[in-house]
Amino acid sequence: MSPTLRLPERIGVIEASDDEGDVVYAASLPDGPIVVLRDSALTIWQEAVMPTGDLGIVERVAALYGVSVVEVREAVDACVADLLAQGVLEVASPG
Amino acid sequence: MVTTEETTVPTHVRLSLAHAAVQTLADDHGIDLLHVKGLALDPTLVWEGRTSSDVDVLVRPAHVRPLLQLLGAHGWKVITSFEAGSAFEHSTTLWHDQWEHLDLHRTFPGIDRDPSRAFDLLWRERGEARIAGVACAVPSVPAQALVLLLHAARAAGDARARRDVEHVWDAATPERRTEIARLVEELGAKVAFSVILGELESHRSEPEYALWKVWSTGGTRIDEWRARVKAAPTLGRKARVALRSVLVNVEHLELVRHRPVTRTEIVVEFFARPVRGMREELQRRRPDRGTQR
Repeated sequence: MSPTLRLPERIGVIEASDDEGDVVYAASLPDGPIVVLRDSALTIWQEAVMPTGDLGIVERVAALYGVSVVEVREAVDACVADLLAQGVLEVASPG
Repeated sequence: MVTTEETTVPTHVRLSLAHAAVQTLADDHGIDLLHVKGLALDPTLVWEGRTSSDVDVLVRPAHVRPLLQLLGAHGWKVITSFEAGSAFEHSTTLWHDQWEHLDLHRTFPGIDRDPSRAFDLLWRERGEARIAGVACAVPSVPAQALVLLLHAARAAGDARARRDVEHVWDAATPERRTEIARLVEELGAKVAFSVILGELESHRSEPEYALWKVWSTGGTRIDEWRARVKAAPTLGRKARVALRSVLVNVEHLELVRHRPVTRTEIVVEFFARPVRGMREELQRRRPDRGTQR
């Protein structure tokens, strides 16, 4: 079972949109870095902090993109690991 | 796609996150500070198209030293000290690779009340602005307006400052003007504020008159140093200001040259600086040159 993820308490978030579409700038405070989230990374981050269902994050992302879990698991896991490392996501419970 | 590329982050985003970063540090360590100007301004005080280039905070004077230590431990570097910053020695500028510039104020030029008492007053009436999702302490809206106007008072001929005055004072409601006037009294900001009202000449007898005259209408470096000596409250301070007028500001020199300066460069600047001041003075006195800098 996947761990439960959540938005860290010490974070700054700015939602915007530009020529390339929706973008979120997030930073772990007080040291950063500033993380720029677009496209699939934005979807994964949003699903992690505001889950739209009870399934695991990989399953939810697969459903959103209409692909199989097998196809996206590696990419989603890598993205989540990256977001955790940058401090813009944290583990709420070990799952 | 997750990126941490600096070039993809717009300035207003970086500045917003800088406000949030400084507030987080303050919250963690019981530091009292108020976010002033820039992105912390109440929307009613901002005219369309107004942009910001740095983050300004006013810090409780007793908390300045601990905050500077904290900032240093979190990657901020002092690039201009209080002494080197301005005639008023009111702020220090710091740089962070993520957040860029921060102006840390221990007082605000034009406010003559004791800095701790002035801060108490502003802190007592403070409000809150959410910046990048973080609750940041800000002065009351009339106090924000006053800070903006006092800043404009020392920006001779600056178009942006003029627009601030038009928007914040000329177009203000009578109620807002009354609130600002009350703060002018309570914070001892009469001389500086008289620049906004066009009444500076009625304060000719005040020691700080000459300094505000130079700041609000322009003048040479020599004019400014003379005014700084005159405005210094004690003989000791006058002597200190006079001495500094002939010394080279090494920090400033390094800042404009973007690198450490050598001893030779400091010596060269020691002689060049008074010559520049003299040239400006001569330029001003030329009969064919009607206006001052």
